[in-house]
Amino acid sequence: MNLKQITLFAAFALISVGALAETKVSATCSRRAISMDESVRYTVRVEDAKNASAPTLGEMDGFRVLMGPMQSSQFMNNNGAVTSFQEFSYELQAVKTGKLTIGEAKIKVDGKTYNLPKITVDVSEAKKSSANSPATTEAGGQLFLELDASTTNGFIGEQIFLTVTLYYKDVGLENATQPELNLNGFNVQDIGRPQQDRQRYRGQIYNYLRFQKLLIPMKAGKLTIGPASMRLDIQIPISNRGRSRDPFDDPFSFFQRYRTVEKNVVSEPLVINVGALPSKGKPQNFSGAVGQFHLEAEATPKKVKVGEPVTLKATLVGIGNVDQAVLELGGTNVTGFTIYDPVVDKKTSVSDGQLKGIKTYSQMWVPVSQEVTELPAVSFSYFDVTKNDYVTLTAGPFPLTVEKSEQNQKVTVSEAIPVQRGSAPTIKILSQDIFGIKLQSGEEAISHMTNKKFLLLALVLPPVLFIICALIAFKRSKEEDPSFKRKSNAYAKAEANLKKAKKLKNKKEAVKDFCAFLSAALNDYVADTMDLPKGSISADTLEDPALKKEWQDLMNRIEMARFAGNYGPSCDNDQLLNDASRLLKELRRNLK
Amino acid sequence: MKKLFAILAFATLAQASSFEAAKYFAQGNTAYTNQNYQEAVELYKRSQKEGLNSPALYYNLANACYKSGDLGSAIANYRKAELFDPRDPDCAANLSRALSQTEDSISKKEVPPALRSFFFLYFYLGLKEQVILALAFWVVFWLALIVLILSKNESVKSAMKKFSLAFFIITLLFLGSALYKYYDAAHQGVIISEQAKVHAGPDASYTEIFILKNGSEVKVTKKEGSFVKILVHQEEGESQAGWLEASQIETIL
Repeated sequence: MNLKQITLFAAFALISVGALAETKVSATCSRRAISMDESVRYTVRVEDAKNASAPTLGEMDGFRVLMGPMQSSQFMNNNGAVTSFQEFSYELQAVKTGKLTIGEAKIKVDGKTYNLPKITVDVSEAKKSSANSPATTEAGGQLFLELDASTTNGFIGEQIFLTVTLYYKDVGLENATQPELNLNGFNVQDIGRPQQDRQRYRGQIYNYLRFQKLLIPMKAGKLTIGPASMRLDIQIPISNRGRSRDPFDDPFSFFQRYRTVEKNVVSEPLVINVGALPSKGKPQNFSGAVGQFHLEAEATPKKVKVGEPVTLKATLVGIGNVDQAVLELGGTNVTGFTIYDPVVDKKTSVSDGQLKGIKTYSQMWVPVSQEVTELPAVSFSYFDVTKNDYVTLTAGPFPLTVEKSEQNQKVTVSEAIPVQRGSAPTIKILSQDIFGIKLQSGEEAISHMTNKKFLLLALVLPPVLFIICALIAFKRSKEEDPSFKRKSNAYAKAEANLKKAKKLKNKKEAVKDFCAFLSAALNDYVADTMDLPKGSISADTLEDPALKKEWQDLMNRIEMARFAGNYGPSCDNDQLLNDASRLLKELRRNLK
Repeated sequence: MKKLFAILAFATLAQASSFEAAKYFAQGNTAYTNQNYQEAVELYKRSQKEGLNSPALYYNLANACYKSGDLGSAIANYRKAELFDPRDPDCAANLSRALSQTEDSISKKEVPPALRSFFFLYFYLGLKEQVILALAFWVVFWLALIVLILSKNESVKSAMKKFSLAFFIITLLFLGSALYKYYDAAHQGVIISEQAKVHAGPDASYTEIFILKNGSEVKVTKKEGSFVKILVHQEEGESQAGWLEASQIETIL
C-alpha cells in the first residue's frame, strides 16, 4: 500500500466515521435579557453534518438584523472520534421593549429541513448613561465593567442569569483576572469559559469580555450583587509624536507600539429584589422546585399476570432548580401491589443562560392481586415564575389489566430493577434542607467541670497532696525506726542526766550517783547517737584524737571521783559537771 | 508546655455562660425560626462574645450562616461544633451537605476506617471531653501514688505501682490526643470570602497562582504579616500551596 492509497483510505475512514455521527441542530441566543441599546447574537449550530445551507430566519418580532449571517466551521479528530460543526451567527438589535420572540428558523441540512425553536428575549429600556459611564483611558480608549442580571425581581429558588461584562474600545487587553464580587445570599454556578467578542452597545461597537454565572437566591429581601472589580493590564498605543525620528526605526510606521498600564475597573452594584414564595395555594407535595417543568409518565406493560412486574417510568424535564424537584409516585395508601424503591437518574446542563435538567424515575410495581385495575397517578408541583403561581402536573392514572397467575404459587419477583448506589434513594425525599437549630445552649451540663478554678485545682492539688502525704509517710517511717528514735532522743536524755547530776553535785554522800549520771550522760549519748550498745563505748569509739583524749581524761576523773572520793582539785564536782557539759556539746557538734 | 496551657485556657473559656449570653442565644433562635437569618447570625455572635462556647451555639450559628448564604462561615462553624461534639449526627449531616455545595474539588485527607476504629477515642470524643478526661486520669494517677506511699500492705503497694503507671500512660494518651486535636483545629481554615486569590508570596504583589472559592477547606501552615500560607489537597492531583490574606480565611480555633 503506497502513500497515496493510505491517504485515500484514511480520508475515507474519516468521512465514514463522520457520516455515522448523528446530526444535531440547535439555536442559541448569547443573552436572554438585554437593553434597547445592546445587541444580541443569535447562532444556529449544526453538528456532524456534511452539507448545511444558511438558515432561513423566522419572524423577528421587534428585532432587526444588524449583521449576518457570519459563518464559521470546525473539523476535529479526537483520538479517532471525528466531530465537526458549522455556525451561522446574526447580530440582532431590538427596536422595542418587552418580551420579544425570535421566530422559528429553518435550516436545510444534508437534504433534510430542520425547524428550530423560538427564543424569547426580555428587552428593557436603554440604560441611563450616567449609571456607569465609560472610563476614558489616557489614549482616548474606553473601558468599563457592567453587571447585568436576567431579572432584578426574582423569587427564592428562581434562577437568575448574571453577566459581568468588561467593555473596551481602542485598547488592548492583557492578564484580565476573574472579576471579584460579593454574591452573599446566592448559590452560585459559573457557566463555561469567559466569552470574548464584539458587540454594539450604546450606539457604538465595543469589544467585550463576558463572564457568566447562574445565581439561585437562597433568601428573600433586597440582595446586593457586587460591585464587581477586575484587575487587568491594558495596552495603550503610543502616539507617533513622541516616537524616534531615526529612519531605521520603522520609518513607514508599519508596527504600532504599545505601553502597558495596570488598571482596576469597578462596576456599579446591582440590587435584586428576592421575594419569598407565596404560602397561599402552596400544594402539599411542593418540594421547592421553581421554574418551568414538563411531566411525562407511562406504565408498561399494560397487561400482566399476578406477580409480573410493571415498570412505571416518569420523566420530568424542565428549566429550573431540578435538584429540588421531587416527584410523588403513586399514593401512600396503595394496596394490591408490592412497590419497590425507584431508581432516579438526573442530568443537568447549562445552556442558553439557563439551568436545564431531566430527572427520570423508574419504579417497579408488582400486582399481588387480580383486583387491581390501575396504577395511581403521578404528580409534581412547582412554582412557575411566569405565572406567579404554583402549578401541579399530573400524569395517569395508568389502566392495568391483571390476569390470574398460571402458577399457583407464592408471588415472587424474578428480576428487580438494580438499585444504583448513590442515585437511588431508599426513602421518598420530599425536599432537602439542613437539620434545624438546637434550642438548648447545652452548656450547663459540664460548665462546673470546665470552671477555671476547678481545672487548676485538679491540675495542682494532687501533686501537692502527694508531697504532703510523702512527708507524713517519711516522718512515720522514721518514727518507727528504733535507731532513729535513739538518735533523736540522745541529746535530751544526756541533758536530763546532767540535770540529775547537777542536783547531786553538792551532796557528798551521793558522789557515786553524781558520777554515774555524768558517765551515763556522756556514754549513753555516744551510744545512742552512733546506735551502738552501751557497753561497747570507749575512747576508741571516737575518731577525733583531741576529742578522744578529752573523753579519756574526763572519764578517768569521773572514775577517780566515784571510787577515790572527793580529793584534790581535779575532783571538783562543779568542774566535772562543767567539763561534762562542754564535752557533751562538742560531741553533739562532732557526731552530727 | 505553652500548648498545654493554651488547651487548658481554651477549655476554661467554656465557663458557665452569663445570663446575657443565654438571652442572646434564645433571641438568635427566635430570629432563626422567623427566618431572619442574618439577625440570627449577629445574635449568636453576641452570645459567643458574652462567653457562651458550646457546640450547640456553633451549630446554630453555622445553620444561620448557611441559610443566609455564607457557606464558608457555615462550614467553619460546623467544624467548631464538631470539634467539641463529634458525635452529633445533625452536625455531621449538615456539614456534609454544606461541603457538597462548595465549588472547589478540594479533599480533606480522610482517615482510613481501621485507623479511625483504633483511635476511636480521638474521633469519638470532643476536645473539651479529652481535656477533662486527661485531668481526671491525672488526679487518679496521683491518688494511686498517694495510696502507694501510705499503704503498708505489700499487695496493695504492688497493685498501685501498676495502676499508677497505667493511669500515667492513659493521661499522656488523652493529653497527646487533645494536643493533636487542638493543633489540627488551629491549623485548619475555611475560605470565607466569595473567592480568594492565592499568591506565590506573602504580599499581593506576588503572582496569583490560583483562586479558591468560598467554603474551600485549607491547612494553614504559616503566618506572616497579614498573609497566611495555606496548603490545599485537590481531589485529583497534587497538593497546592500559596499565600492569601488572613481576612479571607476563618480558622477553626
